[in-house]
Amino acid sequence: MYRLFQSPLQAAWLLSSLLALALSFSLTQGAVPLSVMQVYGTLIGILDDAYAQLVVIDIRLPRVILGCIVGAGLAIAGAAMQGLFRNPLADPGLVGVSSGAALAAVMFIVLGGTWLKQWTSFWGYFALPMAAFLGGLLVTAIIYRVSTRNGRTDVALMLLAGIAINAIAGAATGIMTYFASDEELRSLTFWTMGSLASANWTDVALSGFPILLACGLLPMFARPLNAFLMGENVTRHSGFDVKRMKRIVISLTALAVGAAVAVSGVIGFVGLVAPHLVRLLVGPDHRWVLPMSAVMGALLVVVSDMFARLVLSPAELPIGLMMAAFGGPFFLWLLLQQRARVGF
Amino acid sequence: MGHSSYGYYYSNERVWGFNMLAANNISLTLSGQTILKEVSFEAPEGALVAIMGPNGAGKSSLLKVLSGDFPTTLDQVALNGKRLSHWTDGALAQFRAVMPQSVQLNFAFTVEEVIEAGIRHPMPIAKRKAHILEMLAMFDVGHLHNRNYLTLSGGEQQRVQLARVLAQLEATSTSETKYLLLDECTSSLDLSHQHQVFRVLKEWISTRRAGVVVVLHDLNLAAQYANAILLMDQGRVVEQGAVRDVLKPKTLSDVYRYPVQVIEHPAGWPLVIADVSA
Repeated sequence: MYRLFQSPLQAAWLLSSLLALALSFSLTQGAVPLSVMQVYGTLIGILDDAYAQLVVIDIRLPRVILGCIVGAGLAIAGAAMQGLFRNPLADPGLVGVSSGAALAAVMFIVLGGTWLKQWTSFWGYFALPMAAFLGGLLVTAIIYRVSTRNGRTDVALMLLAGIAINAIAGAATGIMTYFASDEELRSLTFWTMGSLASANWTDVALSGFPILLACGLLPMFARPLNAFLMGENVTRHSGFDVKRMKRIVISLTALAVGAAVAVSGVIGFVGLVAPHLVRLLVGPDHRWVLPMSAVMGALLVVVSDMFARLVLSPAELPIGLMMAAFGGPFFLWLLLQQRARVGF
Repeated sequence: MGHSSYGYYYSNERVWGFNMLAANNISLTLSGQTILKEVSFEAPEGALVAIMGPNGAGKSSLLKVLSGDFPTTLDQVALNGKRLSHWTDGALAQFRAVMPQSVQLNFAFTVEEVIEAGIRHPMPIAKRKAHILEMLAMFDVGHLHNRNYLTLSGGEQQRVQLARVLAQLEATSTSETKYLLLDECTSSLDLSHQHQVFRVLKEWISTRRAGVVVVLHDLNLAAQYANAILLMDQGRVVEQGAVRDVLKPKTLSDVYRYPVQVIEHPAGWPLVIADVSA
């Protein structure tokens, strides 16, 4: 048999336990040496240590939670996009959705105080993620238009269009960061490589809301997405409302990616690697793939971020670097699999 | 099945063609190319109708028109007396299923999951599993239910797809006459499985209120199993009607641009032979 788990429920339990383990361990690790007692004593409120309180509650906790949210959002978006494009190589990072969202976010930050004032006042705190969402939505629509004909996706066109959009958005983002003053904008590295270093509770709230929405709603489209893997007409003839499904899934995908990018920059490969690992565990049924990808994505990002903090401690590596070091070879391996035509 | 005059629109609801799948005067042009020209078609309840003709005759396009794949012709196709545009996709799926010429899948579904993905109607798990296994067994692929669909042979995949469309229709009960639209559903099958498939289809028609439309290349399969044939060439209908009226040597030789003989099979159906001596 070609699946690691015959019972998807078992795999789900395993993943959730691993995530819980990674979360609790990650909290004890960091630049500031704190004992396990200090960390958990502070967490459950039996230890009255102002310093530990600051480190644990205001720095580490929002950071691991943000890692979970961002990872879950990117991974579930990746899984949904792969269903929509009917190909496992459709990753928000590879096809340019993330960099489109990043560009929109950067543009908003640079222009938000002047040209886009009304936008800012209308959306308030959510102005930044909304801008990123629109950027991601635009790119998704473009890629879908370019690469899909008669319900079939041309993978080469999809990836090539992704290269083009990544180049354009990357260049524009770069130019913006050079023209902007330091107070306005985080570094170019943040937008291209991603980081969770500046995580705070505001970021958690800003990204948590849209990503939880996406994680809650996307699994409702698991069955039409399953049929969609056999083609657009097959889905329609099976009785599913294809147009509605495509519209909603594309929007939710862009929403999740936009929210993740707005608070953590572009962290690549999560959307590629996490759904694929889940398919290896339980197969391609979206009823399991969508929710379990979210958990797997959270796990990947939390663990990568932990390594990013620990390897050169007290300095930090960009988390995108960690993901790319792991995801790049994985992508190559996927291409080889595609060559062998054994399916995903 | 002779000619009948339809085209009288009685109301917005029931229009024409009760208990049948009917298309009225279809013309289709795609990017300047004429694909179909003034094609009318009827597949009544209880009949197996074969759409035949040489490559590029427009057979698959006609089947797509009948399936509602082209938005411009939705109002010229009626199913059980209502125009296609009247039905929602969800309602249609309960009594009409379509098997395309090829299904491209990149993900490693099991055979069982392939069938399940096509059934929108909710069913209790145990009942659904039994239903799927029963449908697979009808097409002799029951033993493959747990296999990776992508590792199956072309013929096995085709039989799984047949099981999928039948499973979709058999998952619900409805008062509407049910239709299966199959595009070259036996093209990869060996001799015995070709006949098995058509026997299953005939059996299904005779025990249900149902009709079947197939696009088919094998003239002798059509001669043996079809109730009526629609013979097409270059987007037009050349001949339509009962098997014996369509399978004539002159007609077939003209349409296929190859000399053809028709002799009487002892079992009582016309046997078509390509004339190699010519």
